[in-house]
Amino acid sequence: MKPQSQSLLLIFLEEAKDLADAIATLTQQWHSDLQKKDSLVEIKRNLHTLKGGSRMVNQTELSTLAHELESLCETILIDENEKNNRNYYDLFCQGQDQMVTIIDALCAGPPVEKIEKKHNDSPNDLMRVRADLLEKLNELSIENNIMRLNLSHHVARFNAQVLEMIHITKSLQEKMRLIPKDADFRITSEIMSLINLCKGLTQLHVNIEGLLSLQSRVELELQDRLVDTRMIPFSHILPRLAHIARQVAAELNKKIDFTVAQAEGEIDRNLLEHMIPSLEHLLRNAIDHGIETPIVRSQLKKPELGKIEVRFFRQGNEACIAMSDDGAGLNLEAIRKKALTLGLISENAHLSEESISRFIFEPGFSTREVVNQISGRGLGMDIVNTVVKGFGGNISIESKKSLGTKFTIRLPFTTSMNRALLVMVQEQTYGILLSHVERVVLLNVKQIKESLNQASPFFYFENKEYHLRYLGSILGLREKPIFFGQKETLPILLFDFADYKAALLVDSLSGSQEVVVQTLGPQFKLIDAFGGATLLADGRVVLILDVYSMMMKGVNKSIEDAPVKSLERPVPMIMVVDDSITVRTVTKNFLERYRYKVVTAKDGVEALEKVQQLKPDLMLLDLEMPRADGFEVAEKLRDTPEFSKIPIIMITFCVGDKQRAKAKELQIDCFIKKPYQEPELLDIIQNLLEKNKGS
Amino acid sequence: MNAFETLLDLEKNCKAHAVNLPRQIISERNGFGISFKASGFHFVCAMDQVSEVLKWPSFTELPSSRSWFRGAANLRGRLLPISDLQGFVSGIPHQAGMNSRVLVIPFKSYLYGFAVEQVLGIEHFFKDEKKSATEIPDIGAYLPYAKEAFEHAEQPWILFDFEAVFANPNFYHVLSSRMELGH
Repeated sequence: MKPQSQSLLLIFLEEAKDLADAIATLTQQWHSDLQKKDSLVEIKRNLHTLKGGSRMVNQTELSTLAHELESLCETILIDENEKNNRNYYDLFCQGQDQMVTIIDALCAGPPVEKIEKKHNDSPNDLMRVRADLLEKLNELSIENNIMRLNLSHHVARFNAQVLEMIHITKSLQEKMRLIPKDADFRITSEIMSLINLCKGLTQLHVNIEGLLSLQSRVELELQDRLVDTRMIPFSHILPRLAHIARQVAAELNKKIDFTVAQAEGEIDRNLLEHMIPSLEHLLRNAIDHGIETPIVRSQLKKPELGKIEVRFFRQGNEACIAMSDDGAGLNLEAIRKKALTLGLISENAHLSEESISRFIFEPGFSTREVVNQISGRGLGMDIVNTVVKGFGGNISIESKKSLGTKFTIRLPFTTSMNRALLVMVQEQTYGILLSHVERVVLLNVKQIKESLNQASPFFYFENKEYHLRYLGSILGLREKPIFFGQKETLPILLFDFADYKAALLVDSLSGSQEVVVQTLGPQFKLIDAFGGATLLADGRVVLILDVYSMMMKGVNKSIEDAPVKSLERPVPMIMVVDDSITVRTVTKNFLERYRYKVVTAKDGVEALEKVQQLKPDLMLLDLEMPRADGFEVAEKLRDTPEFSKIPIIMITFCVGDKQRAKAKELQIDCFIKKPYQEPELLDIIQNLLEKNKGS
Repeated sequence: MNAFETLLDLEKNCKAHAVNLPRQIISERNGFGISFKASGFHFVCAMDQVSEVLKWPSFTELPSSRSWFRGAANLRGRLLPISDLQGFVSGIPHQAGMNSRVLVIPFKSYLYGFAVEQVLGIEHFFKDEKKSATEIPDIGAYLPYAKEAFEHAEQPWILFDFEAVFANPNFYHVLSSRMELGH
């Protein structure tokens, strides 16, 4: 083909696609009320334009078809016999399908995206941009975001250091006051200089934070605009789905009525394209497995046409696609049997209907005896689930026997940036995407204890019933939370997934922050519960939990608790008590490397509380602490018969004779000067633990 | 003599008294790699398999993971999962010591960290030092990962094949059986 006609063809195909889409939308409009034929006038006009255009580029097949359809429209418009409308509609759709097939076949070559200006300044104000270029821009913007986050992490660390510096300088200043007056004044003036430096640094920090915050606003807007360029209306996918619905129904001799209840809103084009195969699969399943044959339907006194309904809508931060049918519903008995055969559950497992239905997402799961070309190959549903999860979304099922089934897919709106709520469980921080959290409530400890004592705990809030579980127990860390004397309430996170309402109990909340979720890699592909990981301001890695999968699979697996075979000896627990967060963090990291379990406390009072519940094997105590210093803690411990034998290592700056004497009196096993040497401390710990094991 | 002739003379003298380089036994080199220790054995792995060697970073543990999976660390903004090489291969966990290091191995656009007892340096091997891996006493669990073996400097050395680790499906089951939340 001559280059000129090639580009002409491309231009025509753009127009043809638009016309085909418009015709499809208008056809749907007509479908909603077959008697009202206004849309047909518009359709006829579009067909006429299409005919003209296709003749210009010598596409005779297409132009002939357009002509035939135009004539058909005229016939329909004239015919007043309402009984024929349904047949006309079917016939028209067949022609329309063929038209779409031809246009699709002609479209080859790199896809071109249009950037459309919103709010229609002028419909011709469009630009063609290569899709891969837009993709690259988006990637760059995300990278920029990550770099800004990194920068702000460093700034936060910088600030933490400055704060500590101020703390130490003040403490130094205090000590200076105790020295006799004729001390060297140069020291005092140097301390003053230090303090001024700190003030300067603090001011710098404030400035930097301000600049970062400004940059963040610009960055967010850039991202939003870039995301906008990739948005297309949900309704774009409808013609295709309708086309498939008709095809499949014809092949299987099922009579269906495909309707779109709602199609407002837009979605990222990339996301929608990736979802198309999954939606197609759900549609095929609905027609094949869901809708019964006409004979069966009439026996059940159901309407002749099986109803398949699709809804697209936005809910908060998520784009939702719901597909429902009024067919037979999932065959829960067959699913249960299959799960049993595959060894996924035990014989007498008690599972809710929701849990049973989720087995269809297991690979290789198909309860159909005959695997036909359409579905039943058992490969589809697990891939749909994987794809949806891959985008950070989830899919839920509602099914009622002989009433029908509804699948709801929820996808996060923006693909990478999200806000996560940080929660603490057993001294570890985990992240949960805020977009999934319905609400956070504080519940008092007494009520929590009562609820947890029941066999199947529930939490009731605003007329809704939530399954209550402790996060520590789901993660296999600890059955119930530790209730510290002082705390009166504990936080509970509420989640409303369409088919399951969950209340998640955690130890404490740790704020929230913008996170970039990174994937954990192939080793985690099989784990549903962790939706990735992110980095905190201090560089720590925090796992992001996929609460939906965790709660659902957790429920599934609660029966299959085979005891864990451990090759190792039980891990010794060390408690590190120090008022400096730096010291606590560094010591904890260092000890964890050597496979010790570490718990921390920031002062004497907290230490004593935690000792009661946690019963550590060894204590590392700082001496100077607010509220209760190291000696007080040691004294209390030695007085309690249960803890009198715990090995205590005291680590401190001042190791004067008076302190040593007191330490000996309190039977403190070891007294080390800060800063300690790692190998030395390790040796001491090992020796003390060995010695204690013997006693 | 002028200055130039003096220099020429000097050069002649030097060359006359120079000691020749000893004749090298040019045995064919078999290659070289990064050497490390694990389970008491000496290993070497190809240079291009390792992208860097780290001192133990701080890492976050994964709840209910198998004992050989230590956790995830932050490597300049990227996630690095850290596995205990000895623990994974032999089932006996490695007690971290002062010399422990983490080898960073890139594979198919992801990074993997492997903790080892000690990293020794770079070692060169000669073709005539090659021997069969099965000859190494007590090689046991490491045999499937031993690409080649050498006898060098009076020590048996094993050429460790990380690809064999990545090909082992067990490497991708990091949760303990009780908590296999996906499968």
